[in-house]
Amino acid sequence: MSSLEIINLNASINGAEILKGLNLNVPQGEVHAIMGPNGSGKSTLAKVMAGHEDYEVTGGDVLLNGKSLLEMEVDERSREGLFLAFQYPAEIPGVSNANFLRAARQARLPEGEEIDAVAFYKEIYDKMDQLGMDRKFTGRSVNEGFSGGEKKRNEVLQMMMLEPSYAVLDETDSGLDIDALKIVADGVNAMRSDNRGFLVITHYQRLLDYIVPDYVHVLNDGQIIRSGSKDLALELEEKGYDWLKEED
Amino acid sequence: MSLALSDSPSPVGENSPKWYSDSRKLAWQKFLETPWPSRKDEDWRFANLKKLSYENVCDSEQIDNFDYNQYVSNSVSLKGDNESMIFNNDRLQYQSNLDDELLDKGLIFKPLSLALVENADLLKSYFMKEGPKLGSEKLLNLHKARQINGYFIYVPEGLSLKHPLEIFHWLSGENNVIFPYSLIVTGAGSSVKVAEYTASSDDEFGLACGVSDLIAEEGSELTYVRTQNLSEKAHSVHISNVSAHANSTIKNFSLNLGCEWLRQESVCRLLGDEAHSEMISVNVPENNQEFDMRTMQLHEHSNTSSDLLYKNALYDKSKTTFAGMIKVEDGAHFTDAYQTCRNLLMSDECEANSMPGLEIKADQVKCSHGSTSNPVAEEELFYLMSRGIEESISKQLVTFGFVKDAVDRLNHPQLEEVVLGKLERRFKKIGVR
Repeated sequence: MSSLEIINLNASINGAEILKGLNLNVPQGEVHAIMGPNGSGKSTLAKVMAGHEDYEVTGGDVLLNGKSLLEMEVDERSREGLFLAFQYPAEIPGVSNANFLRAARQARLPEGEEIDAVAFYKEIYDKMDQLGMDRKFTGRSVNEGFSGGEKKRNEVLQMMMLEPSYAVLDETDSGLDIDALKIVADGVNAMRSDNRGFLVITHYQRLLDYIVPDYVHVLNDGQIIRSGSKDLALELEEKGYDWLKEED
Repeated sequence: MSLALSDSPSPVGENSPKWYSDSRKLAWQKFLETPWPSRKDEDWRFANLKKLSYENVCDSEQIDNFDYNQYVSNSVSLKGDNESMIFNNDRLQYQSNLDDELLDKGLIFKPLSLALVENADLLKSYFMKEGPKLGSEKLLNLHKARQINGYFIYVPEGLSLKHPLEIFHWLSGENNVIFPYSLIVTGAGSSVKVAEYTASSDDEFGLACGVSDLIAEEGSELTYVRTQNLSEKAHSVHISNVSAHANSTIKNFSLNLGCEWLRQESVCRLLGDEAHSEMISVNVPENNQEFDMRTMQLHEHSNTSSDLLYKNALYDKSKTTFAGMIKVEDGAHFTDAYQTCRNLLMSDECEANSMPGLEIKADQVKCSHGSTSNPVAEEELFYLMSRGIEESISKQLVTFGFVKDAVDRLNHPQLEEVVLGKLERRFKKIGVR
């Protein structure tokens, strides 16, 4: 039984407080969307959860399966079952996608156990086919020279290969045209299951037409100011964020 | 009885031509007359001149029963049926039988000592024509005066060799010096790839003072991969001179892993229309190793191009110096010349010096140079770790990727495999830091 709880989370960067007591509970098997205007703290939340060292957590906790993520190193969080799909994935020159994913999979094996290379390649090719990715991307350096859409597909490929218990998608729709968006959303939807949760961070409602959430939360000034069903996203699209800010 | 470097060098075999003995004698005179480099020399800025102290070193001696098979099988090499030569202390230990077809077509792949007898005139027309351009006049003359062997490759017009040729040099014994000479000439329209490995057979102090002359005649292609993995006490001095004639392409690749102190000077001369040169170097020093590398891209003709990429990954208290000069001579219009030196700083105590330079006397040229020195980028590390890969392994991946990027430029799977294999061993030895 997996669970993700964000409890009264406070975080700052360079002394500026960004998250101001954020509370959120994502039960296993559900898809929660976080929407919010620019600067509301959406990406900060994603990076704090993954453990980016630029951010300082000043209060609260994030519990994955009951364990505090904040106590763990970045790599431990991933092995514990957290996955962050980056808004701006890093480029790693000279490291092929295949070697990178092998290392990530190897890190999950007990010491002394080696990956079955044949099975690994079969799996990666199957998943690339599903995402409409050319197989030559296995040999290319991680994200180097990839278009925006290719990078996002590569994020979803990694998610598929690592099978996390919770995935945080940070603005996965940015930089995607509608065809790429559909493919990426199909990949995410294929991953939806009763034992995997998603936190979908987005500025626009558009993505939620393709990845339909169970719940929508509105983040403003570092706090969740409204939660509701997927219809809340449509309402926001129509009325804009100011509508909630004013109400607040 | 071995000779100290202060002694006059011993004469070479009776059968070698007079011009060769004369050139050795002349070089010895010049060596004696030339002062050791000093701090005032621009070409020795940042150099650790204290290292140039060779009172105790001697000309190397023949080692009996050198078990080269054992050393070859333990080394990372092509492991194919490549034509090869194996030297220990400049003495030929083994040469594979050359393919008859290649011999009939006129391929020369001989130890210098034999080529001096059998191909003296041809050899003479290419032999050590380049003077010192980057400060090592003293060392170049020392090499020329004491050189006793090396190899001569001549690929006749139109012949393309499918498989790389392979040369092993071992340095054995404390305080020994070797002076390997490599002369590779590709005739018009021909092509060859050569892999040359220099290593110590023990962990003693010694000196390898080598010179490589690479000459590509019109429309030919020459790829030269040189790897250096001497003992951690040894010194390495290497001077390479590239001459690229019209429509030729020369790739000069070096990998430096071993030795305590290294001085590497590489010059490429671009001598005809559409001549192209690539100078690529990968260097991974650790502990207190010091690598001092100087380069010159010399454009002497219009419509020529050169590209230089030096990548250094520095560990511990190691130090690198890179001084690169792009020189575009009068009339060398429409030159394209690029020079990049990248340093990856794997510790807080390492030191990377970069001195890029440009001197342009022609019009309509495209030249750029740049150097960077950075630790592993935090964003790259964060990204890899966010996929569950431990920090130490993430760093290794990034470092390996950093150097692989340069190795990829060889664009030859077999040669890349050899170089990457050596790098893998290197990183394994360095381990997690």
